[in-house]
Amino acid sequence: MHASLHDSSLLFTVAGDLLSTNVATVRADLLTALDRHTSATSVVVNLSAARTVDSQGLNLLISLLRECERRKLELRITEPQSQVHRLLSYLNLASRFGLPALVAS
Amino acid sequence: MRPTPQHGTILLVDDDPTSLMVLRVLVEQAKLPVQTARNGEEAIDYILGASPAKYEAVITDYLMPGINGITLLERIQQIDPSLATIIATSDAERNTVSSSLKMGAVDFLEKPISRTGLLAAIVRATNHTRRQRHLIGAENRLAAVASIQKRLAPRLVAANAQERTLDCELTTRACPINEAGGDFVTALRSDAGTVEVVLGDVSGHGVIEGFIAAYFQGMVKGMQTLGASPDQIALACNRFLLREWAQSGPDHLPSSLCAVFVTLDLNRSELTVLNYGCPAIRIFDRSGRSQLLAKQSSPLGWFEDLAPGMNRIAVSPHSCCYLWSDGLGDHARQVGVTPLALATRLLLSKPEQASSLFAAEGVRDDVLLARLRWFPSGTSEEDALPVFFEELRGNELPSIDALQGRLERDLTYALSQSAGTLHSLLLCVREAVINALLHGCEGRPDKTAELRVHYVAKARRVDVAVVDSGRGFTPPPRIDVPDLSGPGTHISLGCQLIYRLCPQVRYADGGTACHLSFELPLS
Repeated sequence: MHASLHDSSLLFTVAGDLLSTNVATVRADLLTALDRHTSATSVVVNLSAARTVDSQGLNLLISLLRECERRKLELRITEPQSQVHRLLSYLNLASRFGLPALVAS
Repeated sequence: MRPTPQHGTILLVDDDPTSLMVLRVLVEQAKLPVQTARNGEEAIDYILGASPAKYEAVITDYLMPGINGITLLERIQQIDPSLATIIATSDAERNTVSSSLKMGAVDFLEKPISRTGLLAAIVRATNHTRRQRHLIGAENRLAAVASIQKRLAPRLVAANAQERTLDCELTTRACPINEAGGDFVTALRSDAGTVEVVLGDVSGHGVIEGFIAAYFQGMVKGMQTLGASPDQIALACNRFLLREWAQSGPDHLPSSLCAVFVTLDLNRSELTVLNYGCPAIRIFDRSGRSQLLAKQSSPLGWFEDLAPGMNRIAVSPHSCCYLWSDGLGDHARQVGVTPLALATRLLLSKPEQASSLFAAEGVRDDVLLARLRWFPSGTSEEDALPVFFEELRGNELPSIDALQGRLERDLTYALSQSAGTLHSLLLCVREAVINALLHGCEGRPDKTAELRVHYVAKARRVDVAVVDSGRGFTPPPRIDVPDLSGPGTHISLGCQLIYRLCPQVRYADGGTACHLSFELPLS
């Protein structure tokens, strides 16, 4: 995973799938970057490389959402692959991450 | 040049009578049978009116009134592509040389034609014709062997009037590298209510092995018909091959025969398997549980003593067993899937398409597959093909990614689907397996979880069962929005994800079994 600050936005680029087998590592990286870039006012997670996000991957995104709310940061997900976007929509999570819902709940 | 007794006739074509006479004398001096034609039309008439192998070479002038040398060559290629044609040209006609060679002429002769040049060209042409005809003959003989193999292919006769507990159906797919292969399968249904299926694999996969396989196929079928038992047939084949080994010279490696004899007793619901060097037989019951019948003996033809490799088990209705030659397992490894996935893809393809499917993938050995399934008499329940089966210990959660990778590769290959089409299915299976390992098996190595995947082709439906040996659990109710304020435990979100993505979800046996069904989109 790659983290970089653009203006006041902290951009996370996820390197691959978000799965139960790698969420612990990704979460640690996310928290480290959040602590390092305290001047950020918003967080953007680029999911273009994630073909699959499983339930633990979703839990990770939700925990990041909570963490951002706690730090008063706006969180957005960008460029999800269609199946991941559909999954977030199915679970009524798309709008929480700043994405349009693909299907009716 | 000395003509052989079977030397074919040389057909000389030229519109110039003097040139034609000179050429004729030169050929006759070489004591070769010769025929002359004054133009292309006459040459075609001679070829059409002759017995198929009469002419062995045509030497024609290029520039002739009516049909010229190139046009004559085209007509000869249509009538008999094996007949070599040489075109004689002068310096001024040099540009015709390359085009005539492209058209299939074996050679060209420069005019004026010398005796030496003519005879050398005749040797090249007749050798070419003989090679071509030998090749065509070999192909025809191979096609004849293939035809015999197809005629001997198993067709289980319809059940007789006697009442049976079970009925059965045999499906086979053969993909020989050549027209005929070294693999064979034969089946016989007896009046006593048994079905005997024999799958054989002769070592090697050339033309010779094709002939040997056809021989054994007939021998096995004949002995079956005469009521010989599987072990008697195996002994006879073994004796035959051992004699071959004893008599073989240093330049010929004799064949061995891997064979598996499956006897299904339809009255006693019992399956007996004698395996001589074939891959182990796998049986699937209705629920998708799989059992490997691993006992086996060495291939036939190696040793005098045939160590017993017999498996006998009671079977339940709506089950099936798979027999395949080792070529199937080898090709599965080559394309990176399990043999069962490869078998499913074969069974879902039309028999006549199976060979071309594998040829495109670069198959390196003959592949033969037989699937025998049995069911209560008079029933017509939908046929569910097992596609994937795996058993995991309760502490194998760290290998979930590898399992998902194997499942994705197998399903996309077996069902000819893209990973995108199967995304929901793969994700739900992952969640169901994680639930089974974490909560059903509680992560304990002494507990197990099984993943069973079936495909019902008629309904284009994939049925998945994840069954664990643990204590089970009460599935949470379906909710519209995940509770983000709670701890967000894995199990609740995983189940909600399954509810959302899978059209048919059913938990059974106290939550130890999770059944999922997915319909595949029409392609």
